[in-house]
Amino acid sequence: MFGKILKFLIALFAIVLGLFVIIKLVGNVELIVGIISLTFGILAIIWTLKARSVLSPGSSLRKYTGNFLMCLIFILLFSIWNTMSKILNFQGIFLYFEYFFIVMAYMVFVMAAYQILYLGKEFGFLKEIKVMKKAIKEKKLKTK
Amino acid sequence: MVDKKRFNEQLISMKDYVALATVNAKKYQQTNIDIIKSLTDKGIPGVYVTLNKPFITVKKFFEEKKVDLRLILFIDAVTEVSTGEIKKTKACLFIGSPENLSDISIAIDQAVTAIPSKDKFLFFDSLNTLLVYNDVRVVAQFIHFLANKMRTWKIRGIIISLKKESDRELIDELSQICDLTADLR
Repeated sequence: MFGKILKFLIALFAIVLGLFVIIKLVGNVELIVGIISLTFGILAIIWTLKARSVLSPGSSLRKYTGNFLMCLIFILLFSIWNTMSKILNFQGIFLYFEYFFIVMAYMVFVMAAYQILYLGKEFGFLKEIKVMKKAIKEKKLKTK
Repeated sequence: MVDKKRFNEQLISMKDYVALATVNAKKYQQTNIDIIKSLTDKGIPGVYVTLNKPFITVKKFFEEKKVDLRLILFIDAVTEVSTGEIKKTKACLFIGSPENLSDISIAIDQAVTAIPSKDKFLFFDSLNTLLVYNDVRVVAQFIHFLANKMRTWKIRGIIISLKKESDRELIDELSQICDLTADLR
C-alpha cells in the first residue's frame, strides 16, 4: 500500500516537474495547455478504438462507443484548431471552424446521451424487480 | 455419471458456485425445469439466459410445471427481433442474436445485480448454441469471463451444455474452472 502511494507521488512529482520545465522553456502557457490537451485527447481516442474493436458487431455498447468516439474526434479537432489558431494567429473565416467543431461535438454528445437513455430503458430491470420483491416476500412468509 | 437428484441437491445445499452440467438431448428440457423448479421453490430468485429455445416456449414449459415466473428475469438471445435492436417486454429482454456477446454480458450484469437478494442464481442455457454462432476460442473466453463474474457476484451459476462429442474438448477445458460438474444422461 505504502509502495503504491510512493509510486503515485513520484509519478505526480515527475509530471508537475515536466510541466514546469515545459512552461519555462516555451513560455506560452496557453500553447502548452493546448498541446497537453491534445495528448490526452489522442490517448482517449486510442483507448476508445481499442475497446470498440473487441465489442460485438451491432451491439448497443459498440454503437454507443462509436458515438463517444465521434465526440472525442470533434473535441480533438477543436483543440487542434484552437492551438493552431494561437500559433498562426488565425483571423476571419478560419475562426469559424473552431465554432463548427465544438458545436458538432455537443451535437454528437446529445446523440450519445440519448443512446444512454435508451440503453437505460432497455437494460434496466427496476419494474420487474418490484414484482420479484413481492414474490420473494410471499415465499418467505410461506416458509415461515 | 452423476445422479440427477443428487446434483440438484448439491445445487440447493451449496451457495456460491459455478456448475457445468452436460445433458442428454432427450432429457435436456426436463433437467432444466427440475433445476429451476428446485431453486425457485426454495424462494431463490435468478436470471435465466436462453440461447436455445425462444422465451415463449420456455415460459410455456415453466408454466406447465408451475414454476414461479415472478422469481425469474429472462434474457432471450434466440428470438429474432424484427427491428434488429434490443427489445424489452414486461417478462423478458430480447437481445436478438446469440452472436451479440457484448449485449448478452451487459444484460446479465444488469439483471443479476438488480435482483434484491444475496442468494440468487444465473442459469445459462446453453453452451452449445453459443458454439453454433461463435468461434470456439471466443466461447471459451466468454464462459471464463462469465464464471469469473459469477464468483465475484457470489451467486449460484449453472451452465448447461448438451452432450456432444464435438464439444468434448471445450467442455473438458471449462470443467477446470467450475466447482461442480455433472454428466446427466
